[in-house]
Amino acid sequence: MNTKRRDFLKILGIGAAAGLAGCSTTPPDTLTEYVEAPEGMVRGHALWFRTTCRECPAGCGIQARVREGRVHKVEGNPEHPVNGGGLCARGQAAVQGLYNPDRLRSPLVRDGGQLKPATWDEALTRVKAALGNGRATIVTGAETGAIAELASKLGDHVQFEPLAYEALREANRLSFGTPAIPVLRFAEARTILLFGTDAIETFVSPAGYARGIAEARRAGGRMIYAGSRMSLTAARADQWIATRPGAEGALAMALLRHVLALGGSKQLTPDQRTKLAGWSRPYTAPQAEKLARELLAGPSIAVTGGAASCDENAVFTAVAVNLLNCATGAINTTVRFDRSSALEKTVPRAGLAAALEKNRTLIVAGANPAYHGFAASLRKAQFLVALASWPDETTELAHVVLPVHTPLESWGDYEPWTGVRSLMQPAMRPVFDTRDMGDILIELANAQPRTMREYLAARWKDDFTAALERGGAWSDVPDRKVTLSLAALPNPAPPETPTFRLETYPSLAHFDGRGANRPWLQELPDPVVQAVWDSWIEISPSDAARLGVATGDRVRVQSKHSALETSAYVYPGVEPGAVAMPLGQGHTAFGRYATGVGVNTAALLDHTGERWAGEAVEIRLVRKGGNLVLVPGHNYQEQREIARARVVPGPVEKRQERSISIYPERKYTGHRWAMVVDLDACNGCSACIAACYAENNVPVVGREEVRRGRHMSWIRVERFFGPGSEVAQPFRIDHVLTMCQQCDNAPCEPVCPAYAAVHNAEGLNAQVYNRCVGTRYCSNNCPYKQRRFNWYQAEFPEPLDWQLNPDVTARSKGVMEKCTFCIQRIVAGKDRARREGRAVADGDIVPACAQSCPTRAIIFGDLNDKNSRVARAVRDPRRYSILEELNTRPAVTYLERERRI
Amino acid sequence: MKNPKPGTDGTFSPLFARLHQRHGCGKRPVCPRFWAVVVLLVSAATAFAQQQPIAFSHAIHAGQYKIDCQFCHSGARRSAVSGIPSLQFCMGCHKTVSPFKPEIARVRAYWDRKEPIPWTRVVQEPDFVFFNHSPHILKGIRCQECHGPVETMTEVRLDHSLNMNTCTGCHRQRGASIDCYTCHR
Repeated sequence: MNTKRRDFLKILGIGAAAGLAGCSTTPPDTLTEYVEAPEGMVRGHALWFRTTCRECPAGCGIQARVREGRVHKVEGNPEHPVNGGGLCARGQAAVQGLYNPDRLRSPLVRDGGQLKPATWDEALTRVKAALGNGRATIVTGAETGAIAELASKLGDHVQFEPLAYEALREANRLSFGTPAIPVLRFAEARTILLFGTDAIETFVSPAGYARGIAEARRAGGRMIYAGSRMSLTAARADQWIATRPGAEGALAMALLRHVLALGGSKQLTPDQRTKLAGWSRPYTAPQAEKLARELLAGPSIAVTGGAASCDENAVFTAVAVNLLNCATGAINTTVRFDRSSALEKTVPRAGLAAALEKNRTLIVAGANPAYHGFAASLRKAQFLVALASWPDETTELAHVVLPVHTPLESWGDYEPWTGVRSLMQPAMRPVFDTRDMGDILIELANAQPRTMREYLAARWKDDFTAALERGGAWSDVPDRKVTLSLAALPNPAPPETPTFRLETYPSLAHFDGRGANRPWLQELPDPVVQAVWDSWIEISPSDAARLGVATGDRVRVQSKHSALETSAYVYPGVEPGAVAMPLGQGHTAFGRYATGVGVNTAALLDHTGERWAGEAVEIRLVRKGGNLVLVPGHNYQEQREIARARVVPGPVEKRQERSISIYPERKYTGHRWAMVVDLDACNGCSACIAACYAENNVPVVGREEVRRGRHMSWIRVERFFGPGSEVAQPFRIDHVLTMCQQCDNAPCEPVCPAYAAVHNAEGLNAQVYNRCVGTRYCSNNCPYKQRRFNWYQAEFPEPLDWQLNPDVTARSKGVMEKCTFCIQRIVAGKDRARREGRAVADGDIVPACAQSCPTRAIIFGDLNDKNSRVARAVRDPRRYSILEELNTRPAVTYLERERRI
Repeated sequence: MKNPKPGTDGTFSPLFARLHQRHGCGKRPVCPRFWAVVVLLVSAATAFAQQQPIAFSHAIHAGQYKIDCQFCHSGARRSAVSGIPSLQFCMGCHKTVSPFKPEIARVRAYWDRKEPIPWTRVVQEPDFVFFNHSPHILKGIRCQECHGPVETMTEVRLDHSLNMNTCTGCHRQRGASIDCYTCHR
C-alpha cells in the first residue's frame, strides 16, 4: 500500500462526506395504497359504522370510528333509544377487546391433553363428528335474533347471564303474573327511590338509566337510595337511607303503610287495599311518612336491584317494592311491562347446572361458565366446544376452541327490549384468522342462507339497508298493562346473625368479569374506592377497628363455600356488620391483563344459587400492610371546596368577585374554548376516562407505576368523604371531575424553560411535546396536579397499537402531557367549518369526554359566542372554579351539585 | 463499500484495470483520485437513486399532458393527506392509454396480482407534525410552493427541505396562524 498521508486524508474526507450524503433524516418508507379503494373512503377521513355494543346485556347502540380500515374508537349512537349517544367505560373499552394482544389467533384442538393450534377444517371436522353423537347443548349469553335462532337449530339453547335478576323476575311473576324485567322510565319520575339498585353502574341498562335519572333531576326530581352500602349510585342520590343489610323490604313495607294511610291506592281495588294495609301494618321506619308524602306528590318510581335483589330476602323486597309502586301509581306509568327484556330468556344458575349435568356435547359460545363456578360441570361434558375471542377459563377446558370475531367484527342482531331491534355489522375486517360466530353456527347447524350477512338480510328483509345506516330499527309496542294479582305476601327470611354479611356487587369496570382483560378498565380507578388492578373487601370503620384492620391490610375471608385472601379497604360507606366486595377479578386464564389480578369473589358464594348478597363470612387479619394500589388523592377536602354541593332549598351563597390582577387581561379575539362540568349531572361513572384513553392515546402504565403515583389518566374522578378533614356526618361522598383546567393565568407556563407549555390564542395551555425536555417544572407548579409525565416509553403490545388515534401524537419517554380539550377535534371542527365555508357552530366540536358522557354533564364550546351552551352555562348561579383564590382563572367551570332535601 | 477484487496474479481484474487506467492515474495500485470517484459514485447512487418500483414520471403526466395534481391526489382538497391514487385509479386510464409500454405492463402485472405498488416515500413529516393539505389548497396555495416543480421531474424528489422554518416563514408572511397547536398535538 503506497498511500501518502495527504491522499489518505483526502480519502477519509471524501468517504465521510459521501457517508453523510447517503444518510437521510428518515429511513426510506414504503407507501402502500389500496389496490381498489373502498367506495367513499378518503384517506385521513373517518368512516363511521353503526353497530351494537355487546359488552353487557344492555345492548346500547354504538358507532365505530374507522380510519383507513381500522377501528380507533367507539362512541354511542345518538339515534339509539337505549343510550342516546352516551356510552359507559366498558363500551368504550370494546376496542381493547378487539385488539387484545391475547386474542385467540387460530383454532385449537386438544391433543394428548394439550390444546394445540389446528386448521379450521380440522377443528370443524372434530366438532361435526361430536355433534353427530346426539343432541347438543349450546350455552350462550343473553341472545335474541339470529344467534338465538341458529343456536336452537343446533341443539338445546341455554342462555346464561351471571346477573339476570332472578328474584326480580320471580317477584314480578308473583305480583303481576309475568316474570318480566320492567322498563324503567326514570325521566318521567320526580321522586326516584332505589332499594339497593346500582342503576348508574351495572343494573340492566346503566347508560340509559343514568341518562333518565339525569333528565329527572334536571326537571327538579329527587333521588333517594336505601341500602346498606354507599355505592356510586347511592353517592349520587340526594339522600342515602342506610338500612340494615337485608332490611330494604321492611322499609318498602313501612313506606307502603304510610302511602296507604295517606290515601294512595291508585291502582288497588278496595279489597287489595285492605289486604295490603294488613300486610304492611307491622312495619315502621323513621322518616317514612315524609317519604311517603313525597312519593305521592308527583310521578314516582321505586326500584329494587343490586344487593337487595339477590339476598335471602330478595323476593320479599321486590314484591314489597311492587306493592309500593302499585299504591303510588307507578306501575304501568313509570314502571312499564310493555317491552320485555332480553334477559328474561336466561335460565337461572340452577337451570344451567342442570343443563350441564346432561353430559353430552356442549357448545359454549360467548359465555364463560367456568369462571362463574361451573368448571367442574364443564369437565364432565362428553365433548366441549368453546367459541370465544379470548382465551378464558372455559376455553382452558374445551376439547376444541373456535376463535370467533369480536362484536366489532361480527354480523348479528340483538333486541335488548321488544321493539328495539339493534343490528350489528362489522366495522373492520377481522384482525386475526377468526370467524363470525353466526357463520360457524350456520355451518354447524347446516342452515340457509350460508353466511351470517345473508342470513340477517333475509331476517331483516326491507329494514336491513336502513338499519345498517341507523344501527337498528325501533318500533312502538302495543300498550300492555299489568294488574296486581298477588295472593299472599312471601315470607321474609328469618333473621340471621352472621358475624359478617357479605355483599357482592358487579364491578363498574369489569361487570361480571368479562371486562377484566381490557387494560383501560383495569387501570380505571374505582370511583368509590379509587383502587386499580385489584379486588378488595370494604369493611366499616368500627368493624375494622375491632378486627385491627387498616386499609391495605391482607385479610382472609371465609364463607361456607370457600376462603380467599384479599386487601381490606376501610370504608365509612358500609354498614357495620356488612362487608362488600366487587365481582369480576381473580381470573385464572384470561390473558395477561386479567390473570392473577385480584380474587374471584364469586367463589365465596354458592355458584348454583342466586344469592349474591347476605352470605355469612368470617374475616381474619392475615398480615398488616399489603399491596392495594389506590390512585393518589386525598379523602377529604380540607375546607378547600373542591367538590361543592349545596343543600336545596337553602340559602344561596353569594359568590365573591374574582380577584383582580395587576397584569392586563388576556384578550381572545377569535374563539375562547371553555368547558363546564355540571356536578349535578356528573355521576362519576368514569365513562369519560375510558373515552379519553381511547381518543388521546393515553398509555396504561400498570399497577406498580400507579403505586408510584404515575397514573397517566388525563381525567380523574376525585372523590371526597368529607368537606373538612374528617368523614362527613351523615356520611356522603362528593365527586368532582378534574382535568387540565386550561388556566388563563397558568402556573405551568412561565416555569417551562423550553417554551413547551405555552398559552395559545384560544385560551388553551398548549403542551408542545416536541419541545418538552422533561424538566417537570410545570407539573410541580400546577396546583391542580393535572399534568402527567411519561417516565417510560409507553407500551402498546401488538395489535393494541392498532387502536392508537392517528390524529394524536403517541408521546414518548421524558415528555409531559395533559388534557388538550381534544385539540385534534377542535382543529378538525374548524377545518370542517372552513371547508363548508361557515363559522364554527356551537356543538360542532365535542371532546371525547363530553361525547361519551351518558348524562351530558360536560359542556364544551366557545365562550366568545354569547349564545353557546357553554357561555350560558357559565352564567349559571351555581358556577364556581376550583381553587379560585389562586387567581389561575381556569377555563373549566363547575356547576355545584344540588342536594335536594 | 466493496474492495476491488484483485486478480490472481496480483493485478486488478481487466474491467477494473481499464477503469483505473481511464479515471485514475493508472500507475499506482491504489490512487486517491480513483478511490474518490468510486466512493462518490456509490454514495450518490444510494443517496439519490429513488428506486421507485415503477418509473413513474410526473414530467409526462403533470408536465407534458397537464393533468391536474388533484386529479390523482384528490385527497388534498378534502383531507389532511393528499393520498396517492389506488392502483385501480391508475388502471382507469392505462387500460387504454399506452397499455403496451413496458412500465405500464409492469403496473398491469401488479394489478393482475392485486398487489399494491410499494412506492418509496419521498416526503416524510415527523410524527409530531400534523400537516393538513385541505386548508392550504382551499386558500389557493399551489402545490409547487412546497413540493417544488414536480411537473418537471421525471422522478419525483424533494426539491428543498420542508422544516418548521419553511412552514412558519410562510405562515408569518401570509398572516396565518403560528399557534403551536396548529400543527403539533
